[in-house]
Amino acid sequence: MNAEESQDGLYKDAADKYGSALERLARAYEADPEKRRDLIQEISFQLWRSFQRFDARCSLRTWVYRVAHHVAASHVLRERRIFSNLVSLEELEKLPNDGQLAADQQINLERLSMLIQQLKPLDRQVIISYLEGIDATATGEITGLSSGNVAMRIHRIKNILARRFHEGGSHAE
Amino acid sequence: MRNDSSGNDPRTIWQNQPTEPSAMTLEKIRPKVRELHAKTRRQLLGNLVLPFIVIALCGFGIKHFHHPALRSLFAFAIVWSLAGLYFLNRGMWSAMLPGEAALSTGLESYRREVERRRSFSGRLMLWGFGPVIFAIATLIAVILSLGIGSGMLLKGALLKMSPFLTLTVIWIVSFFVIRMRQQRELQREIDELDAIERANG
Repeated sequence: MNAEESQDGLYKDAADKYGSALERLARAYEADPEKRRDLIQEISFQLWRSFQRFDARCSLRTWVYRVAHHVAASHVLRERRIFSNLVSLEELEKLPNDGQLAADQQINLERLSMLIQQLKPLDRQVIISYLEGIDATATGEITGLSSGNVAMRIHRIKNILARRFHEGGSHAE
Repeated sequence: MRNDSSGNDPRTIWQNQPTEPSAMTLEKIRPKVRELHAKTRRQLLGNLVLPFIVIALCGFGIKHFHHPALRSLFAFAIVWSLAGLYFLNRGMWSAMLPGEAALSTGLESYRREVERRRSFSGRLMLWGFGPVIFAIATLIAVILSLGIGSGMLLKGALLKMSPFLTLTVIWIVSFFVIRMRQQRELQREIDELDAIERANG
């Protein structure tokens, strides 16, 4: 197999396995549907380019997420308005709950997406990994955060989500 | 956190969101390479705007004023601007390649991106904005001195130029305020990343 076939093959494999996860990741970084479509295209394109250098030093999943987060974080930096303030998980934890859980899953998804979009890129990487069901070790590999740091952030994420999605849920029910 | 079987669990909400089958097939990716080249060309053309303004202003100055010192100042602004074209573009293309991003962790690649942007923003002030301000200031000084030389009082000359001067000052101040704010935000981001790295041990 030549280099180009290998690059194409890896891309197809990644797109099959992680295509949906990448779409969800793009939602966490971009609220506007039109821009989100562009972001997905950019991530896919950069992922395909990156496979020229794939050397199996890390797993395919870690590779895919690292590239995707890098492209998406650059997108956030590029698109960010100077007066917008992204917050850390710590700051988000202190913010009041802004609404109750709705019966409609789509509304809850919008609320969850908005919550993630308030976060700084590094915290978004952790919360996305958590929501995708990626374990703490793999999250550490993707983000570069130590296991203690990941654990602390996941603890905060659980608190925030519990407060906003379960407490609210009890009111709605 | 309890696992909510009613479907209100954030993980379930997140993972069950509707997605489309991957739209970026290999057939669609290849034209993207051409698009990227076209985009690069457009960006390069966009980068020519500031040097073009400087060259136009200074060209006008060199053509109309024959004093050697003045001509040297205008020539200096042109050289500064052309050098800026090189330094700014060099900074622009030093963005991390996707393969390198995959070999770095999220923390490393995000930090590099923030630092690159901060450094580019600083270079833009020195190599992009600097020559423009210099050229405008030289031109204003020359026009004012000509006005005064022809018998007009400084106050009169300033009054005649006040609309242009006001707009120029507003533009310069807004540009500075916005850029300084961006620089501060990026620096704060870097400080926070430093703190995370320290906590990482």
